[in-house]
Amino acid sequence: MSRKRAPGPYSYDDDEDYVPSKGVKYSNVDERDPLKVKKHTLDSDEEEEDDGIIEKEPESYNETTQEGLDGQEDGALRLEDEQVITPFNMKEEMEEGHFDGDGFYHFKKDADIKDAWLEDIDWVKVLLKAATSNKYGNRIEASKAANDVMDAIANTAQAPMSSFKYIIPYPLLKPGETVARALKRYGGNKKISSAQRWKMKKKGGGGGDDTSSEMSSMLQLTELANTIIGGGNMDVYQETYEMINLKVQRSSAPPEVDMFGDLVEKKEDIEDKEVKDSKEQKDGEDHENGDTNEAENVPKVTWHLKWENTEEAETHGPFETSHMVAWQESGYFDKGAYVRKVSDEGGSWYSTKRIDFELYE
Amino acid sequence: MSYMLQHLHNGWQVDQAILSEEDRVVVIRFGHDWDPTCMKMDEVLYNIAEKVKNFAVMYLVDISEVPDFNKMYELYDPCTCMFFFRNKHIMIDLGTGNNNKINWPLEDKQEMIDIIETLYRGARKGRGLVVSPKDYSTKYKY
Repeated sequence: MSRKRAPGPYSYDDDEDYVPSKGVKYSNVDERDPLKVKKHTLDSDEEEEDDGIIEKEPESYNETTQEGLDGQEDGALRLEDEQVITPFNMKEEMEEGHFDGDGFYHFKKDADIKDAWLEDIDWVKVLLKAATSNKYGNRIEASKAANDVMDAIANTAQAPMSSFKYIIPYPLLKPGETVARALKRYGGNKKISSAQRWKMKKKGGGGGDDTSSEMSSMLQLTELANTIIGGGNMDVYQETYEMINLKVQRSSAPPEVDMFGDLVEKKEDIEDKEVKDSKEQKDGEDHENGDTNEAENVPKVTWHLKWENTEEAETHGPFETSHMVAWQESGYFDKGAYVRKVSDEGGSWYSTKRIDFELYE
Repeated sequence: MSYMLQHLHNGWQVDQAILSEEDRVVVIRFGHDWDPTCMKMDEVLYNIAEKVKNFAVMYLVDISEVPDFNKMYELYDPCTCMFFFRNKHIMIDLGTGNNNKINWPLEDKQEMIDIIETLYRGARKGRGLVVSPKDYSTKYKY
């Protein structure tokens, strides 16, 4: 009996560990054709008649075809006492997959590889979340609360330095004590002896003011410490007045400059620079302080200007680079002007059309 | 003055020289020490080497000894100067039509200093192409 093989590649599908059995025979009865008796049974004493079947043995695995299933009925839907009945058939199932030799059903695999979890996604929900989330939550399916937390963390991360600066000018910390100790000093010491209590009562509201100011200092200190912890520095409670002072000093030290007044970028700092830049942009207070420091220390490039490149033309200047930039942008030099660096005495005059003053800022 | 400037004798040395400098422009003169054009160029380079040492370093490469770059950089002129910063080739608009190199003997020392300084400033700011202060479209011999 020739057999049509159902189409479909050999595949694991989702049952990765399952290997369809390759001719594992649990019984001597041939499952494809139960009526046939196999060669090596006791009953098969007769000469072999069906060489054809034997040659067919090396198949990859036994597939159950439509024809091999018993009990299928032809025919479409039919009514039986007003109840729609479909005669048993496996047409749809065989379209979508196949049975292997062990009776397991395998769906037909699509050409493109899918992850199993992809089928479980509710795309409506995903799109809704994407619409409502901010830039932090775009790829992360976070809840609104989680987004708020991340916002808070992002904001506090930018202000650890300014928090540090607050602690020192306001004498919340005393020299030689840690943050934890200072907090204890402000907030603790609730044990008052009866004599002291009597004294306070006699004084009236005198003691009350002190405790409230201590309370506010304690709250202030706690708040600042909290923002610092939010910024990632977990050890702030153990840091002493001196350590914090040192950190603040280091962060606001004037940066090194090279001969052109440009910042010297060391190897280590090149990576840190991006971090620093983003910090400085948001930390407006520190940024301004840094700028004024730099302006005083660095010699600036200044320029002489003349309108014609002749010996007799009048030389104007010296002008600062920032002025030249502004003039260049406003179009002041459009008709052609010639400049020379003040430091370049005796050199040739260059046309402003070829000079980019922004490079010299 | 070729003997005063450092020579690079093989392709690996050239690569290392370009890679090793993080803060300075690397100026490489490709040519031959005995060529008159190169001699003029080398003179200029040697004279300004001290003045620009904070932001530039010079090397000489004999293109017969090191032919590795001849095709890559199209080194067909007797004397070619190329500029690199942080392992990147920096182009200069000289007005000549060839922005990749200076392929004539530029004899004015101040102009050379200005070119290298402009290149250094521009490259520090991330520019791949800088404009030379002076236009050389009519002056250089092809």
